[in-house]
Amino acid sequence: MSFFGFDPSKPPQGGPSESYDFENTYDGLGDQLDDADDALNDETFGGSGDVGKDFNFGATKGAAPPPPQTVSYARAAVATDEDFMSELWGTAKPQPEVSNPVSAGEKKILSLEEIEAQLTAIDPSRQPQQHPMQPFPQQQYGMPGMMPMQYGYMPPMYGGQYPGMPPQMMGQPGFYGQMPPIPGQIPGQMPGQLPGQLPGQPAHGQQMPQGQMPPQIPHQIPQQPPQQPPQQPPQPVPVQHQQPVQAPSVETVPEPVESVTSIPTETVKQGENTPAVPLSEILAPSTREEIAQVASKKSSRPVNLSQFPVLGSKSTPQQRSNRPYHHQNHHYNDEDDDGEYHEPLILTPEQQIKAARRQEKVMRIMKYSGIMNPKDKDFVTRFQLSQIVTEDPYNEDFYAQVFKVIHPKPNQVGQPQEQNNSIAQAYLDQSGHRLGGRYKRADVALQRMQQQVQRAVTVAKERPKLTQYVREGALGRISIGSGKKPRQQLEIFSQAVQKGLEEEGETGEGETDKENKGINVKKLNNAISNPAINTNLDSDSIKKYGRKDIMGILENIITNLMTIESESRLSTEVDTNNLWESLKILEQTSPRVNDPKEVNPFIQCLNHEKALKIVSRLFKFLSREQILTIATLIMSNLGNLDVIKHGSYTTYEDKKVPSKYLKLIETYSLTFTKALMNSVQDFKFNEIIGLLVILIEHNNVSFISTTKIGLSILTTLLSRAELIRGEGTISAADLSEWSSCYDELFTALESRISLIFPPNDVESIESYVWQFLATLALGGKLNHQRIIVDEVRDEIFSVMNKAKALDSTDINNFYKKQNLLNNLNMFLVVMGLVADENEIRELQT
Amino acid sequence: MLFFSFFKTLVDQEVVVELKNDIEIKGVLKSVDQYLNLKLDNISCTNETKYPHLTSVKNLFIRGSTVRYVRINPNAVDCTLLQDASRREAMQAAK
Repeated sequence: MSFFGFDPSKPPQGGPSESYDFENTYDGLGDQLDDADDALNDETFGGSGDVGKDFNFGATKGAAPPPPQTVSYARAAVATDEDFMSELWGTAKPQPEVSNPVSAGEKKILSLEEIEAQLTAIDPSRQPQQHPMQPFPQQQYGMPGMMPMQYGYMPPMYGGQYPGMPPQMMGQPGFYGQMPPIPGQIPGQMPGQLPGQLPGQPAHGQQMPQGQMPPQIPHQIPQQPPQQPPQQPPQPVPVQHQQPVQAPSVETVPEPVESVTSIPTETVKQGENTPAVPLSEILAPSTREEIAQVASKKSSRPVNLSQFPVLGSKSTPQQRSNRPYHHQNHHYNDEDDDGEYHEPLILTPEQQIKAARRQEKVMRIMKYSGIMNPKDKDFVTRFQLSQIVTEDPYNEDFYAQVFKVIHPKPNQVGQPQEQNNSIAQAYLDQSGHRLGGRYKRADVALQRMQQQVQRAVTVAKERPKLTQYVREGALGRISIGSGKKPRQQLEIFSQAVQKGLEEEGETGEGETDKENKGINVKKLNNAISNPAINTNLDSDSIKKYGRKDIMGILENIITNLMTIESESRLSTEVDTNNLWESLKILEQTSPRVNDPKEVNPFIQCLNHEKALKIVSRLFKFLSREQILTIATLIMSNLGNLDVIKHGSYTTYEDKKVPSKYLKLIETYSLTFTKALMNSVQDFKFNEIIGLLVILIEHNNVSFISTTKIGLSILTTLLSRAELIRGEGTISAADLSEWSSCYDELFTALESRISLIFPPNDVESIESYVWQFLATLALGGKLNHQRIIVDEVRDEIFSVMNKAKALDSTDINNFYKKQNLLNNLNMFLVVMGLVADENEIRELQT
Repeated sequence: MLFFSFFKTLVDQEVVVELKNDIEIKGVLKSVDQYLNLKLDNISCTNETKYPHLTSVKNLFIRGSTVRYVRINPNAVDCTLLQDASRREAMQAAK
């Protein structure tokens, strides 16, 4: 295998003491070369005589006689495309050798912009060929075209490292030269770079015509010949030129001993570009050992640790195993390095280790930091937000939005809520993003994020909703996840199918109607044949509500309610007609029914917990009259309510209400009774009398009084009436109406008052009974009160005995006792009495 | 959207995430997205002796599809509101 005809098996040609510097290859320093070791060049490279200093790689294979070597490396390094082509095809005019040092000197001070311009002029189509891993034949052309390789290599790395840079800028090699080297990033980029750059050099050096040989003849060839040849990538001389700064202290350190003209400037340049962090600090111990070994071999030169740190610190193990040329670079650089930079950077070993650790840490952090630039982040943010943003947050993000309002976070209370309309903003508000490590940065980032969000929201709103699309040639529909349905793959029902189902359901209902009619017809026939049940004659006009019907009605109510609630968030004027209609208050209001299914649907709804839970929300949207209508309906239908019908202990053998109904009663008193109590505050005196009258007329008052809910409702109405009466603004007519109403009620209750005490209330903790008695006593005259006391005398003493039996030393019992007596006294106080556990006394005023 | 909406309200609450591979991770919920991917902070493994893999991890990102259960504080849930929200979701779907 040979590279440009170089025979690796031959004895090494480069003097070990000579260094090799890319920077100088185009400097015309070849003129000052010591050619002593170049004797075998002819043999090595095909020996076409004196090739001059401008060896043309395109002609090395001898297929065609090499054209006059007129172009120097320096020239080639900065060659424009045209130059390159003409050289390649041997059409370039011969260039006088003498001009080279001069031109090199000029090129030395080329500005970065100029270099850039030259680089960009190179035919980009050549780029693919310049990959270092390309096979040999292509490498032959590679030399001048090498420059573009930088395009391929650098952008990804710098793109990551300098997030602030716009992409187009990153593509420009000249840009890199302006970058201060960041210690942390160098190790990352080096492995990719150096292999392509350094190992190619030896070939040049050996091909260099006499007198042009730069001082840096690679000595690594003698050191490690086996590794060298197979891995020689193309020669990146131009690369060095383009990027004097990139890894300045590593490869480009000049050989001061032999450098002649331009090296001092180089040195200065490099000195400027040396990273702020002393490079020696990032040397890993192992690397230093290695250096030390090498140094001891080559003890003639001082070891300059500062010169190759970047390579050595982290990637050393890798290099040893995978990247031999890197390894070589170390030795190479190490030996090339000079005391010039050495002294100021000397640190104690402890400091170095410490610094190395720190540096390693920094590197680890830096490695991925800024891997996305702000544009990338913005893009990702926008993309994510576009999926979750919605125009109707209260509908689609209902839970979170309302939850935030109902349960404000303590630290968010004071904050303005004007951004509520966007779920995306709410999302970010609440997501607890930790932006940036430091406060200021976080603020900036937050601001940017918020601006970004604003834009994203508008963009997302404008964008048409695309949920699915069919691509030509695709086997199926490609569904696009949205924030609403991130992964929906199945469309279970098309709308047509759903409609069909609904129609089916309707016909199904029709059938049941028919069945019902059939039954009714039968009933009718029965009625005709049997005059005793004539009452069923009108059953045709009465609709029966099954459980499903009631549930449907209830769902409809809730849906309407929620719709109205949504509307009310947007405007104060809402149309409650639909809601009122859906309540079906005015359907079949008669409490006298033969079948529980014929009861008014709203009353039936009230047997379900979920209806009770919405009562207070419902009442918010109903007018006073509407609520009064509902109250009237309920008063007349009390007996049809489950909580009354099944809520009396008297209907059960063990005198206990089953837990199923107890639970419903509990819910009822927490929801409906409360809502009713609030509404009753708005009722007028005569309205309350009206309600009471309806209640007494349509129900068995004595039975109702044995239920907790019935008693609570009575208490509510009575106490409200008492309060209004206490205000003293009642007309005489109303008063007389009131007293007759009260008499009627009392008559219904008389002789059954003691029954209101549930027999199994062992603890007597239920205060509602005493509340009712107190209210009743308050509304009655003295004779009423006497009757009441007479009837509940046993209960009074029973409570007193219970209180007495409790040991007041126990704190729990003490409270229980107090509770018992308080309940009792609530009633007794009305009659000017007060009781303790021993006796009943007259209330001392 | 309902679950996304729901989990959003749990941000900054402590939750226990049981993964499909049986690991249980307790941590403060930091973020959630529409795939119910979760970001947890200050995590600890509730069955650490069995799965010590995460002993030195402080925060992590969990792909939503790997979650089996998320255990939450019952007090952090407004059940009535959740019922309404699910009803609303059903209404939306029916449209």
